[in-house]
Amino acid sequence: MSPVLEVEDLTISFRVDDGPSVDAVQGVSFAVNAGERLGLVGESGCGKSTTLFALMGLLPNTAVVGGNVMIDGRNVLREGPEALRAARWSDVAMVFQGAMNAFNPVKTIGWQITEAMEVKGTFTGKAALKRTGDLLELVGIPAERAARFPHEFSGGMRQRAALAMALANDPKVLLADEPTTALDVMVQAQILDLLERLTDELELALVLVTHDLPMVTETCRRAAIMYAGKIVEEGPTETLYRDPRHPYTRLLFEAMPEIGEDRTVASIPGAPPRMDRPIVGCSFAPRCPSAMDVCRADLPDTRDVGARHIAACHLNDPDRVVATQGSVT
Amino acid sequence: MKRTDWLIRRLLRALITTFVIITFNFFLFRIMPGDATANLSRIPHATPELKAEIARQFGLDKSKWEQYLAYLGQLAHGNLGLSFTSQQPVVSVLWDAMVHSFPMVALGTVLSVVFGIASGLWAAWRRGGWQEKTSTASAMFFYSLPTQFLGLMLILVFVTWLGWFPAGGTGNEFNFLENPSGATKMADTLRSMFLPALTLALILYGQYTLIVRSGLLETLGEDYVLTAKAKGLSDRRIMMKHAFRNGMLPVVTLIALSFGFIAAGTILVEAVFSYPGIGLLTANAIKSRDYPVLQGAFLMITVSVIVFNLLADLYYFKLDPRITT
Amino acid sequence: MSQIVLAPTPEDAAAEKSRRAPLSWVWRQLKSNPGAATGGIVFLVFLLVSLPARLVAPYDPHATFATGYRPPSPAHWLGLDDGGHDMVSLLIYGTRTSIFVGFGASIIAIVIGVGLGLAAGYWGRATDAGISSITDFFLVIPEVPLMMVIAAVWGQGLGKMILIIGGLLWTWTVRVIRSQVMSVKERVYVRRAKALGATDWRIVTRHVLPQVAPLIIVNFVLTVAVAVFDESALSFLGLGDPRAISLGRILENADQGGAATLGAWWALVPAGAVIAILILSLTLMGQAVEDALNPRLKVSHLSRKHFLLLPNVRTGAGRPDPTPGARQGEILGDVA
Repeated sequence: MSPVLEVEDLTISFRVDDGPSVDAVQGVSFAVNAGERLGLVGESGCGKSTTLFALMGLLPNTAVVGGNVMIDGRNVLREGPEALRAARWSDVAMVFQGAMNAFNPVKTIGWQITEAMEVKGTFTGKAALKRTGDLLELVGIPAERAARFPHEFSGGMRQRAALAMALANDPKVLLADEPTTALDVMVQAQILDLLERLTDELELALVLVTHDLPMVTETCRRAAIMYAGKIVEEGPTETLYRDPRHPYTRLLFEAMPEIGEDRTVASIPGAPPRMDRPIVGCSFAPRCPSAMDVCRADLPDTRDVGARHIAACHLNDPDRVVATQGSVT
Repeated sequence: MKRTDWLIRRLLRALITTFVIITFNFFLFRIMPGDATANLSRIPHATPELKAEIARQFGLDKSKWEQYLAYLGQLAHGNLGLSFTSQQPVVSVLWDAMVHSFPMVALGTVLSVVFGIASGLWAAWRRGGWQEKTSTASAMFFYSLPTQFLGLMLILVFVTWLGWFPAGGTGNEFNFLENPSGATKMADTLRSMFLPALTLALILYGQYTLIVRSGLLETLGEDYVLTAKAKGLSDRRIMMKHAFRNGMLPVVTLIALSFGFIAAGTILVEAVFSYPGIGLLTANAIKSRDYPVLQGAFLMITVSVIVFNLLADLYYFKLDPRITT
Repeated sequence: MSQIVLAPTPEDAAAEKSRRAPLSWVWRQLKSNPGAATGGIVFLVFLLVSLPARLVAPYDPHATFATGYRPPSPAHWLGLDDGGHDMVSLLIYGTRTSIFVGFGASIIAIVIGVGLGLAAGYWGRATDAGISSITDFFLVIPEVPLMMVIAAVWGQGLGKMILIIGGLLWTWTVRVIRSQVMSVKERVYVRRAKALGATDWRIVTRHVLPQVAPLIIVNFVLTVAVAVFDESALSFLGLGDPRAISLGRILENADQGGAATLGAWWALVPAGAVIAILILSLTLMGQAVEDALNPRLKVSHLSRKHFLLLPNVRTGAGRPDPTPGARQGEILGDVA
């Protein structure tokens, strides 16, 4: 079964008026199968949201992009602007961070959902209206609410409506950018539940971008950890938890507080590097408790370290002479 | 329910403003240095009987307060006094003037709004391109020209040098010499209306362009525009169905605020072209210190602006579903 | 009870930058915007040339050299007006007067506007309600006709004109300053200062005013432009100071003397052009700073240019070919 979403060596830089370019994403690759949920985790500014925007070609004109994005076998970025526009919302759709503002305030929710279908021709007229109602019901909103304006919905309901709109044309890939920010915990749980259920039922491939690791461990079977524009580790979430192969991953999991645990919550001291300067060696080295000399000199390769598990860390290098300050765990 | 509250408040405000203006108008002309109460009766060559009648109507020998009430009373009856220069009733003079001004100003304003919106849209659509630069440069250029100067320039070029248009008036002169057909009259009227209207249009459009451009740009940076783009909508659809409507909301308010500028422009334009409308009336009344006419004209102009502002409020109300108290 | 401060808005961020050193921030904005820089230089040139009018003007503006209009000649570069006066000299004196009126009126308007705006924004509630209703009232009334009527009744004179114009131009400023003050009032460091017991005066001068300073500068510049226009309008209807030479009066004179119908363009075009140039240069400067204060205008999801797509360097097995014929840096993708 070939993956429905394949990202290959994606690089994104932003040109800045007076200064060096910002290399926001530096060679990111991952793949997601139908019905699979991948969590893309990292601190603010690590490039995860930018990556997501690139998958739909929604980058500003200051961006310089390299690499390939394959959705259902089609190279969406390289088939021309019309093909890209056609792919948007029919093959791949997105739920934005703070969907509070994703809706046009002077049009009803129903109108905007119907628009998504009519523009693509998937449903028109009465059929589109009926489906709008069905989609709203699917996400737990009474169908009559379609005639209301966005400001008449609560934040959580708007997020659900945004989800309904994203599913309008039966996309194969669903992208979610921090879909639960600014929502309270109860609503968060509902949204995540909804995402899980829908990706299972509809066999969607989901990429969930978030800084919230607990959310990912709950919802996603696979996770990719991003740091400073690169993926430093990727694999089954369970494995990342039990057997992390990158110090950053380990520290992230250690920073997750658990109820009933009796230890001080660890945090990772320091800050991510600036992205407008070239980095020598591993970008995590300055903050890494296990950093060695080679880390500061050479960029670590991305290696297979298990079943569908990769990591980019010198500690996994089998040729390295193992001194006692050895393994990751 | 809440929405109608807003409407009612706006209406009330318009009425109160009108009332304050009437009061201000009254007191301004009575507190003039020099002559105290008798200005209204200072009609040259008036017969003593006429003077006495005016004095009675406006209570000119009584206290300020009683004069004020008398004034309000006369106002309610549509009596604004007599012109110093022509001894005609101010009301009829005003009415004739307004009838002439209205089509000219309407033409100019419509032209400027249409062209302003079009060029503002064009500039915002192609942000960063030559279209935006040309559009804004042109808008700023015309916006900076003094109204009377542009009018005089148009006369210099199109009347004196090129001879395409008549020198002034509305061509009513024709009525005495021949009896032209309705179409010829219409054509003549349009010809003499055109340059003044064009002047107004050129002066105004620049401001509208800049307002529309910045209103749209702000809209185009909003999240829901990004969502619309993500939905695969074409640029044109995004602009026309989403951005335009939202971007226009503040524009309606800002255009309404320019009604005052239109009023000023009308006075200057009609003075330059000797166009027999309320602007020329005002200008002449200022020059000849014909206070009753000036007072009446000012009132008329101000009330018109208030009324149009109210209409703009109503239109905004219709456009934006979010309006509550 | 402390409130969580939400993430700063783009305006807040821009304001932070301008907070540190408002004047130098404004200066940088002006320098970096080519239109504004040009405008600034041009305005400065006009100011410097017209200020020492007696030294710069070739002739006494009241001296007559002929009985009527004369076209430009080597002795009189812009000819003579209908009274036989040298146009160039008239223009120089006129520019000085107009700039003077513009600045004078604008200072009055800004002082009133900022004062009222601060009061309304800072003390809020009743003060705000009162000031706002007065401001809204004035906003609806057409200013220039009102100025004309007051001038017609009160009388002519440079001082009176400055007072009349300045006395009616403050409304826009009040609104703008008021809303800025209201947002500044909520910022953390202001609330902290208040909690520490700083007096209102100290808070306003040390915290609020610096934040509002760029906005005041913008408003001042734009108000001068409007005041110059208003002077020309008032003078055109004969309401200017009969003893003073202003650009507006030169235009009035041109109209009275029939310059347009007689084709005496030299008596008309230069004066109007100077007014337009003054207004344009001031507007360019004001707009540049205003745009900089409003960072939202920078992002537009629809724009002419698209993002740059780099061609694939290597083609491994099973990978699609790079777009045929693509050269390094060729624009391929369409985007937001």
